[in-house]
Amino acid sequence: MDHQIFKIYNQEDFNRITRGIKVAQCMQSRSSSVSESERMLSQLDDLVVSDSLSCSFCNTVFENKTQQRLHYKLDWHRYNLKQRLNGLKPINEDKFSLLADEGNVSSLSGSDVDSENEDETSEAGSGHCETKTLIKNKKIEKKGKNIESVSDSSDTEYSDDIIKEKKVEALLITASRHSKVFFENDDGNIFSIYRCLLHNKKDIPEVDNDMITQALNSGKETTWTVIMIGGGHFAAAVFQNGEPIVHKTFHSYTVRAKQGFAQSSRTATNHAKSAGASLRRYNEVSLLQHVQDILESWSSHINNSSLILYRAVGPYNRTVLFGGKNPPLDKNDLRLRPLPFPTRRATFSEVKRVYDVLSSMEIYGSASDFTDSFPISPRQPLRKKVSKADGSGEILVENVECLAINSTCNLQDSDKNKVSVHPSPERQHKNSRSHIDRAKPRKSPCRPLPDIVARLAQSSSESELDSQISSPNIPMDVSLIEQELEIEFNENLLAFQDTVPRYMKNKKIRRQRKKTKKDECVLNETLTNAKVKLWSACKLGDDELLSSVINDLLIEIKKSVELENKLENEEDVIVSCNTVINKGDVTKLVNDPNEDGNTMLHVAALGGHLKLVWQLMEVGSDPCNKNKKLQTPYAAANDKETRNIFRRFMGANPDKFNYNKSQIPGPLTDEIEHEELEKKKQQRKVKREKDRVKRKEFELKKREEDAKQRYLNLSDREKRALAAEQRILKQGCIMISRCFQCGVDMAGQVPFEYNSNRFCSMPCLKEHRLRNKVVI
Amino acid sequence: MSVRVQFENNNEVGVFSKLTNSYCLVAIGGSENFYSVFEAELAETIPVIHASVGGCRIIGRLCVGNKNGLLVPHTTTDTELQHIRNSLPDKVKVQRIEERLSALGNVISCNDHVALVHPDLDRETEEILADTLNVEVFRQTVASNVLVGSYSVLSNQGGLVHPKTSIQDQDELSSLLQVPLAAGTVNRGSEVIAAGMVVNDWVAFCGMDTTSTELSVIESVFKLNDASPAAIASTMRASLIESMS
Repeated sequence: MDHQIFKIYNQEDFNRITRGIKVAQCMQSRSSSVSESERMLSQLDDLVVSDSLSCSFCNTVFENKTQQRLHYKLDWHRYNLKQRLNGLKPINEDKFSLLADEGNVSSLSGSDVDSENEDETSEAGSGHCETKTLIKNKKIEKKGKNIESVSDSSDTEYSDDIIKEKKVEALLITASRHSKVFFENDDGNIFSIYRCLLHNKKDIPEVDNDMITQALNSGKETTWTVIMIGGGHFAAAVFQNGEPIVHKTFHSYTVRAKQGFAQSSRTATNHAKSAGASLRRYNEVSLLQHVQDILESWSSHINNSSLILYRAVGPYNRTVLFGGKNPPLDKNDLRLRPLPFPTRRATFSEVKRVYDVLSSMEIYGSASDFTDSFPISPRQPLRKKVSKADGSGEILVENVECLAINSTCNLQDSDKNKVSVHPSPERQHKNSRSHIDRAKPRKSPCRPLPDIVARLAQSSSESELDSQISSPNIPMDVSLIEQELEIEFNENLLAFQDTVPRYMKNKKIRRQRKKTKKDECVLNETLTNAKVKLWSACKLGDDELLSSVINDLLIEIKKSVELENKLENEEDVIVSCNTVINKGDVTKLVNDPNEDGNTMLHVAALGGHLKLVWQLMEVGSDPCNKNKKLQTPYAAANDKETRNIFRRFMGANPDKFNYNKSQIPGPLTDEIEHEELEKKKQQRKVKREKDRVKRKEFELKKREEDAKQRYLNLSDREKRALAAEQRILKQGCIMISRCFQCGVDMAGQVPFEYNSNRFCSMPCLKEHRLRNKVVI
Repeated sequence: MSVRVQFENNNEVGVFSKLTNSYCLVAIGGSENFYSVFEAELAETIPVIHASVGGCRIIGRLCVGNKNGLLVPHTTTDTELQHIRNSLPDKVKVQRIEERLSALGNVISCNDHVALVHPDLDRETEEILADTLNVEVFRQTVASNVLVGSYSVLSNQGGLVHPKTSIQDQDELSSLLQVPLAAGTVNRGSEVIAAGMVVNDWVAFCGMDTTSTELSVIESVFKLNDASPAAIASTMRASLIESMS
């Protein structure tokens, strides 16, 4: 019988399925199972001396104990022990006796190392012993020949039993922890009901019969309440016989998006005062109120329902349902059951889905089928099968490799292999899943194309083929026209000429240099000489040399022009071009950069040779040339004078060069210079005046400061005296305190005094005292 | 009765002591604590002898014995041998063995009736073993391990074997040795059982790390719960008297 699902509220189906209900085998023993340690101890209690008469190393079965004991002393057994330790297959007694006869087994004896050195007698003794045992073995072999064949089968049975036992044990463990309870009915079919429908977690029934009555009851009482709260979403419904009677869903903003956690859990640590936080806090309270109101209004429905299934994760969500002074639900209510599987966001459709899942009874078919395909857990029912398939998968992968290597294999073979190869990539993928290191980039697994894509690809390739095939037959209507268009963007790009990256520029320069080199070969000697002289002149700042060279050149040019004119007149063309120099050659010569990209103008500007700069520019050295540091000669110049020369030249010859890129700020003539000087003078004057005012203010301040200091240094009495003096002064009478001795004005001074006689200085006082000696 | 004990902060008490039904050897130079634990449990019934073998204290791994005798390796000096001879009861035979595998405790595991030995053990040694200790010798491995002395502990009541011994191997061994066997560990999961404990018919000494579960397994396998020297006599009484009459 196949996998079927029935609804628990459908009475007919329920009655039909649960006819003759009993707890399934896999669940039954659960009730008798105890904790593992206890079970182990109980096993230890009934430890017995086993009576198995077999040796797994030699694959033999013994008839009695004595035979068994003898066996363990045999060399054959020891040989097989060694074979096992070396990972080899055991050999049977016949083979061993053959080996022993050949003498290969002598190395077996534990005393082999010593025995070679020992005297003959002991060797003979041991050999005798061995032969004896061998004879014995043969006897035993004769007796037990037919037994051996039996032993093999019994061994396999034995191991099978163990495997089966383990399987059953594993099944038991998974079944007892499963969220479903499995029952068996009259038809011998296993079916499952969710455990949460039967009993509360706290009172798991000990007896299977209880569980059966619970299961039967679960079908009759079909009024359920489902409540889900989470992340500010609330959804609840009361169902009866598969139909929702009442339901309510709402959402309030309590959880910050993409951050999670209820606001209350956050504010416990740091009390956020943001608008959002307070909003969420307010909404939490309103959600609680709202939920409690709803549940209050549904109280009659809830009281009638046989089960209250809820999902409320976290302390906050639980307080909504069970917290507060009069909680909407009683925490100890036996009808309360948490949902046994994860759910999505609380919505009405989700509530309906949950109800649908919980109310379904699954039928798995007969008991024997069921144990083979036991669902380990509801979410990953296929895992077991995958692990089983691993072995075959590996083999298939190997096949693929073989295919890859053996590229020359014929079509037939590949066709054969294809069948087996096809599922392999998927499996390979599954196998490697556990080893994926997600931190590292990895090759995307090669998966077979989806059907649709593959079909499309096939069809398209077919159509191409078709077209190819058909093309010779049908002449093409459309003829392609090929045109080569050269489009020059240079004009548009002129503005960006300066922004070309340096490495590209260098390329250009290099190219240029190559060209010039070629040209140089053509240039005549006079030019090369002139060049050398010019460079040296620029470096040394020797303007005489430069002017002479230039003059020479100019003369040469004149000559050549004359020559040309002559030639034109005479129409004679027998003069070598080498001697001809025109002005362009000279400008080119002057504008040649050296290895740093500096032109002669650069060098002259760097050296601060004013005259040279002027002359060079007159000859045609372009101030817009840039060296490798992207400096024009103007920018490269070290001092202001040199820079001014450039400006002057610009003022004098505004049209000679295109100064736009020379970085020269503007022309300079005598007038302009004069104006600038005037301006500067005025500025200086203003500045001087300002300074003077400042100094005056400073002095005043300092004087005031000094007075203050002096006043502070006075004793209090003196201060009082001063104050009195000033008062008197204010009153109008001119009170001039004068020295009693010399009559000097003492205003502002602190007088020296004795017997209220005041003096300007100590000598005055002394004199006064000496003059009027008072007898004391 | 099973006791937890430590030898100088070392839990491998089976290395530093050898316990049989008629005597107990402890390594010299240990702390008084170690000795007093043994003496408190055993001194009334059997002698506790302080000994060394070949100048080493790892006597538990070097020698092997049962109530009938004691075998020591060829590294044992004459004085040591003499001392042991003098201390042991008269009926216990002491024998020095010329054996390549000189750590006899690691390659031989025995009770008073049977012995499991390393498959490569010398034939001569096997004979001496059988004569001196009065046991039947079987060459076998425990959990594919040749060091049967390290990975199994036997008493006349039961035996503990390496935790990875297959059930089939356990069955075969049990039927061979005629004692019930269990797979287990000592010292919180140590699989070198013989190094972690010593046992005789009424008492076991385990390392200090041994968990209570391990202890309970040991007690139930070796039937130490109600065991005492006197109890042995009472259980054996019937057969004894029968044989006497």
